[in-house]
Amino acid sequence: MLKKSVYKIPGGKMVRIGLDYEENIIKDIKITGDFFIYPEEGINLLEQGLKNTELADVLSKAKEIVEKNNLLLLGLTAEGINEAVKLAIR
Amino acid sequence: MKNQWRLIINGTNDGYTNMAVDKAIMETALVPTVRFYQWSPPAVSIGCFQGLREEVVLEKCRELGIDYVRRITGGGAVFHDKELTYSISIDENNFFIPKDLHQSYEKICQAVILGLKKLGLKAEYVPLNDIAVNNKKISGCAQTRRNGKLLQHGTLLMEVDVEKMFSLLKVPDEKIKDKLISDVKQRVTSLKDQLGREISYFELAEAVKKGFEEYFKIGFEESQLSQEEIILAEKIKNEQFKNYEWNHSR
Repeated sequence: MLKKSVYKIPGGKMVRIGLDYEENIIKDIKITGDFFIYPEEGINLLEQGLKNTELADVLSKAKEIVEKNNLLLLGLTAEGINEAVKLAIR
Repeated sequence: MKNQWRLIINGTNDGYTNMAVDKAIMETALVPTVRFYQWSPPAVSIGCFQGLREEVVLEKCRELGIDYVRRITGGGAVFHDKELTYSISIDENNFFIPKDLHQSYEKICQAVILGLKKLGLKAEYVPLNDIAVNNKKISGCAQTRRNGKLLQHGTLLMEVDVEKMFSLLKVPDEKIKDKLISDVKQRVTSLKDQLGREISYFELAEAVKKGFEEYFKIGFEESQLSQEEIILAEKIKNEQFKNYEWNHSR
């Protein structure tokens, strides 16, 4: 199932989600927006890392990816990604 | 004795060249380098994390002969027309640059703010990456750090045409476009609006130059791009910024 959302993170930037999921498991996810990630390759780590994740586990998985890879997110948060995913599947 | 930085005052170039030159300087410069430039034809640049078709009305750009290019920095979509764009390329470990990203954004913005003060404007830094005059945004910027180098580039709006901007940049909800246009007009300003007069690129460049010199307590040596930078920029332009795959990558 293909779903999209646009979510303005409180105190942050705009995040857009493009989601492809089946039986509550993410097959593919695109995270776009006017935020900053350092290093920039972190966006690929997040998108690849969230594949095969259950929708209910997006928040914990996103946090894990950020911590494991020492990513610095500006204007973007794991909570924001999670909210945007929730909005997409509503 | 003051530290000497390099200053390049470019004229107009297309968006692909501008982005390529910034990247080439970032990769090769041995001395902190500040560059001022303009855009011709006008262009839209998007942040490296943005979806091109989500942000830009490509058909309108083609119709008006406006280029569109993906930056290597994050941040938002920008319509570059009547503005001075600045960039600074400097070692991440340079004494003048805080390790902390937020602080480094602010510090570089403060140099620009001091430049605006030379023109009689009272500007303030608005975290993360904006400068405002009278609570209206006059400048935005974006920073990247790679291989021990920092590149921050930003705009200074000399004049702004909000209607034209909105014909090129997509809004999340078309239904509220009129409200958004009116809203943006309240929240965005230009040097022409704030000074009540036109300002030339060179007058603005001189002011921002002095801002950097005074804020960082450095001296500038004006120079041109080196042969190495010109050749590298041409390569980067063709391989990256003019490349369909790069611009359409998200």
